[in-house]
Amino acid sequence: MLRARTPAQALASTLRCYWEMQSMNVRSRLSYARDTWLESLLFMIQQFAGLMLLWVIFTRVRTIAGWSLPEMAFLYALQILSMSLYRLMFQGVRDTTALVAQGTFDMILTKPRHPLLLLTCRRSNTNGLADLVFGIAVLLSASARMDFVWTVERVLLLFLFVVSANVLIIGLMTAQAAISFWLIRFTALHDIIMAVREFTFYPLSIYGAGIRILMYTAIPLAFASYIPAAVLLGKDDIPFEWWIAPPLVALACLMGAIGVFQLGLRSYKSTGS
Amino acid sequence: MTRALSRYGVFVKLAIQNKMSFRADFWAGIGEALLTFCLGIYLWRAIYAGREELAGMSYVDMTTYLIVAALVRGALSGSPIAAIGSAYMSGANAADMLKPLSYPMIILAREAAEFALHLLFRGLPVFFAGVAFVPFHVPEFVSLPLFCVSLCFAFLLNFLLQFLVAQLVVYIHTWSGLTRFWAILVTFSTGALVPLPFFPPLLRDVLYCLPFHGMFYTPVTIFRGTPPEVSPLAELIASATTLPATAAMVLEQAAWCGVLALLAQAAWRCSSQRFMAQGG
Repeated sequence: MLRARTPAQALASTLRCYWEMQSMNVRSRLSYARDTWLESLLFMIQQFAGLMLLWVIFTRVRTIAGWSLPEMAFLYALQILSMSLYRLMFQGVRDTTALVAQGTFDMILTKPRHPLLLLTCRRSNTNGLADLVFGIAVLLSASARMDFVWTVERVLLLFLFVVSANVLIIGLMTAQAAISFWLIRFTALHDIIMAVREFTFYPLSIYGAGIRILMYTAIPLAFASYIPAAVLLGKDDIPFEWWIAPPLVALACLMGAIGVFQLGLRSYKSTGS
Repeated sequence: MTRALSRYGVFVKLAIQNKMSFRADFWAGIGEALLTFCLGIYLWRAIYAGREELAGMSYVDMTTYLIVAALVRGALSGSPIAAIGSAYMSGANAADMLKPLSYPMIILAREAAEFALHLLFRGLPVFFAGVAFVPFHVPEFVSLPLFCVSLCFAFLLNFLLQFLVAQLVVYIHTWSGLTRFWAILVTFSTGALVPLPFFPPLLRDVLYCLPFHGMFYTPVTIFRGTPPEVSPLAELIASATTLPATAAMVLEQAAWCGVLALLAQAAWRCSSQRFMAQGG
């Protein structure tokens, strides 16, 4: 006689499935180990080049909108960390558009797991690891160059902010991927999100009202790095109580994205092969 | 010459038709380019806040630089590395190599089509939006023809340098790392994001000795008409020929194109011998 699984058993089974599929991805990536690590190293150098440009600008000025070079580097590091876990563990969701357009999404639907789980399991990008290593190194180096002490409270907050930022990004990417269920080949929103994300390398106070409203509402990337940096550093008159905003917004964004995905799934019509 | 042009012209036409079939990508490209441009304007406005001049450039000089840099960036947004690399990995370039035509010239023809389309649909819209809404130095009329020539050389430099980098795909059998490597070079050494006069002297001297500044810094400063400073090679050409600095800068671009064309030819000869058709 079949017995219904308890929620704990279902969760354990889901995690086991995720773990096994991602292990397979990592093993497959590492069969080209040299290319994989070279790509990640170059990715890290690219992030470093961006930081160097910031340094070049700061050879001419002392502050930008009241932010010094170490403070800007701190924000830069949080911005880099905001996508690290997404890249490392959940980037497969990006494949949705291509799968829907090619008609191969049907294969996902034939498997006895939720499509979203199967999509996230499709890819593990080691550039996420490069993000983590580089982001933490810059964060520590920047904080050592200013009057900033790492207390237990701040470390916990940092952990919370990094996880929240990644959840927020996962939510945004899931929502934009779900649009493909209606519009088939639609990558424009992804490109726009990535372009808006570039704005979060710098303090939001330098932008006009339109951009700020966009980043607090429709594409709420302000909560991925700017608000966390401002709360941790006490900048731009952002009160400390705002620490609760990034996790709440991230959670709302993820729930909304899952809802949109479910809705899209119901409207999905195969394009054939 | 005319026959050769008509032969490779077919590839230009096909590339244009292919690109135009993805209109949504085009609109997204314009939106992305506009956002990147806005980011630059906001950032430099904050940097110049309360300051008259930085590195010999006023705020209006800088916004003019950003507007023209956006035009050049839009025009040069094609990626020969990705085109060559992905064709190599899928084996699709074998079909091109079997044609009784020069493979580098086929790629050049396709990239020329991309350049023209990106200039029209990505570079110019951002340029006109910039001119309409941001402080802008109207250039002297005489500098415009020279700017157009310089922009064409910038395209050639971009193509030749990317073609050279792309030849490595035959040795390392991956191209995503190469595009990353190229992005690093463009970010740091072309003046696309931060004008070269802002760099510390030693770094600036090194960057002026490399060909990368010919892709962005040269055409953008030629548009302005009065370059805040020129590379040692351009200075040498100007003093030897008594040409104005801007014309010397274009000659410098042409010289680099000549050198890189020879290098690209040699690299292609080596890599094509190691070529192994993949995929099916």
